[in-house]
Amino acid sequence: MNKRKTTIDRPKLSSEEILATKNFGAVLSGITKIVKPVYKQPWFLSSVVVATAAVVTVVIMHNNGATNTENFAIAEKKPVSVSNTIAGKSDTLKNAPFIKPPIKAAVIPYSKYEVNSGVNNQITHKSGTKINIPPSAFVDSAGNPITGEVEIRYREFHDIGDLFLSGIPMTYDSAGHQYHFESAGMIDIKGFQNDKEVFIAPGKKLSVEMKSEDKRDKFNSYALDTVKKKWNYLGKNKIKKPDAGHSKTHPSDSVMSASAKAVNKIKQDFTPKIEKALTEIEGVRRDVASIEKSKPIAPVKTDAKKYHFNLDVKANEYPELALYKDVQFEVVDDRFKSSFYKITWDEAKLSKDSTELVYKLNLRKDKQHYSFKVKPTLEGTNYENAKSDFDKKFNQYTAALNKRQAEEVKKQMLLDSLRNEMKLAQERAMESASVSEKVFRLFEIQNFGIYNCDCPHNLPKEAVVDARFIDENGNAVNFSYQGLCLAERGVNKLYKYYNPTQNSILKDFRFNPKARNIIWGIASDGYLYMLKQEPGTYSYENNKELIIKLSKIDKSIKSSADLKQLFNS
Amino acid sequence: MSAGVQEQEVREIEAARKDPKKFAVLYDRYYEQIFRFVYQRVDDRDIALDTTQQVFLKALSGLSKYEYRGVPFSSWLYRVALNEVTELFRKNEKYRTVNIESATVYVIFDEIEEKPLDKYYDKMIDTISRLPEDELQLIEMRFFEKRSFREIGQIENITENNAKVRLYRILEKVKKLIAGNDSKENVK
Repeated sequence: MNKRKTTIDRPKLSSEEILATKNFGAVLSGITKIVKPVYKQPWFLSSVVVATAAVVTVVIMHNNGATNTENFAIAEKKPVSVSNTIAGKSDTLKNAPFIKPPIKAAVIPYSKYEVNSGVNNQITHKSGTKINIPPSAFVDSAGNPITGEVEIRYREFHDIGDLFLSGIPMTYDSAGHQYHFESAGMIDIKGFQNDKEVFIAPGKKLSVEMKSEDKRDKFNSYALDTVKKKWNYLGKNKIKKPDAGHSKTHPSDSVMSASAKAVNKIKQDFTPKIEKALTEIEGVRRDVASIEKSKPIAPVKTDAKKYHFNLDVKANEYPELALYKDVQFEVVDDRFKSSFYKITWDEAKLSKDSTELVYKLNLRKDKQHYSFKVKPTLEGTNYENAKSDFDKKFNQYTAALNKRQAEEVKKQMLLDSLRNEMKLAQERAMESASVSEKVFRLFEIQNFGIYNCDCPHNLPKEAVVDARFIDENGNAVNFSYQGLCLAERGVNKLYKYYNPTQNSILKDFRFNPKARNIIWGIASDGYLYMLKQEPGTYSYENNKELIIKLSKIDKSIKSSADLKQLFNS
Repeated sequence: MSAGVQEQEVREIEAARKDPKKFAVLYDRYYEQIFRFVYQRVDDRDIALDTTQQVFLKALSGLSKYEYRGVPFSSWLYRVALNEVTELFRKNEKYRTVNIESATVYVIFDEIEEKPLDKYYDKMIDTISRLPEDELQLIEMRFFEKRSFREIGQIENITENNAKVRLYRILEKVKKLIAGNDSKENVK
């Protein structure tokens, strides 16, 4: 293995930095030096080039002046100026507010806490979250220390409904790829004195013990940079279990064992199916390996300029030479001399080299030993016949290999789907058994703002369709401005899709047809639409159109609780 | 890439064969992506810059060998780049850098359906870092560079199915190693 160095999260270069290094002139001058002789000597090019190439050196949210309509309008109508082109979309994205709660009437409110800036303070939020504030922790916008009372405004977001209503983007960009956050809780914290914003003093840190309903240890902390419009990775979360005295929850042994039992039971149910699928895959892989071993080897044409031997080889010892009628052995290395032809050798032995279709020819005369690398070659009709035979066999080989590889992919997909099904079933079992198991997630903040305990994920990969959304009357529903939301029950991931073409078909809509999906969004008519009843099974074909019928919601949404009620109805 | 764009590119390649100055349009189009491809695998930007220039120099000098057979020109360029970085490490002069994004590590955990516990997190990074070169390339292309199987197949000169099969096998291997192997030996 080559010398390796591993780096984690190396800072990325911007496009500007990379493009600044472009120097086509240098490439051109490199080629100019060597191109000219090539016109005369085409074979000369590649070797000289190598030698002389001395290194030359989505969110479209709109809330401006939302006017709720009389009955149940959720957000304002689309701005008429927005173009329906992709360029229009990006312009709109650029100008759109970064954080935009979709339902103005249901914005999650801040809780307010007064703290004395001169002493240590601990805020305990209604959720159980604790915020520890050291003395002299605040400064004003000019950097002057703040004395006296400071008002802390604080709110939390825990479930899909909260995340949706927050209007905070839940995507994370990394190397140009967008991930979707699964959240174990998010906070928004600000400080004020006399309604003027205050800031955390340089060198001071507020420590947060956020109560989280998800006890898994896979989450990281991220801070939202509202200027650069992106989440910044801070580090992995530390987890603290609540003290027995403080905990209102009771992760009792019986609950734990119930959850463990349920998970084990699911595993037992799935194991035979998974093992069967694994055995089948192993079988196909063995077939593939065996086919690969029988890959025919292309015959080589004799090079008249090189030295050759005629040797009698036994077909049973060298079956790979069966194709070679009247084979010659061409000397590969250049240590061979023409004078060797004049010698009558006492012994000539052929043995296999590690390279494909290369052999070692060992020659002995008295005590002199010579060893050369040779390869079998053919000439004239023998070569043509062998080539034709090879082409036929190679086509048969490729067809057989492709067939088995396609089978392997199919079986792998089946295995993936079984594993996924088991994982979901286990998660559901865990969810129902451990709903009351809460933990504290610990992190420190040096600035007020929005912080999230998250884990990035790709969009679901189980099904990819062109989704066409219609209402109960069969009319098209368009989510081009606010986006369409997808969540799986029991999983705190909010996927958002945008439709730049503004028609009712959402290309490449990815979802898991085996999950219990919640699909909703605010359509361009300003109303909330939702998938009220999921079909028992989705009848879909990948990359084909799938019609999804949504219901228009005629209920006013005034809080996260209203939304949750809808999700659970 | 649409058929029309592809045809236009074939015309540009043809023009560059006759007049190397016309290669500029292809250089401009692919410079950044080839630079990123190289930089993903090397230790610093100067090496990446030199190697990228070398890639384009070789591409231009070998343009006569490029034949359009349905595989995009970019894939051919990536192959040239892959050979160039391989050559760089073969000489053993430079460190082969494995640049890992922590966010992507979780995606791989997702893929192998393993829980990303702390102890596994480090092990995952360690395991990926010590994979044989051909396997590391596939992991890099699929996860760190987010390439489709089709594109990987085109770069590696294998079928899309074969790319899938190989990656599945590597992931299976990674899963087994993470679950069982604590040793620091090379991952074979």
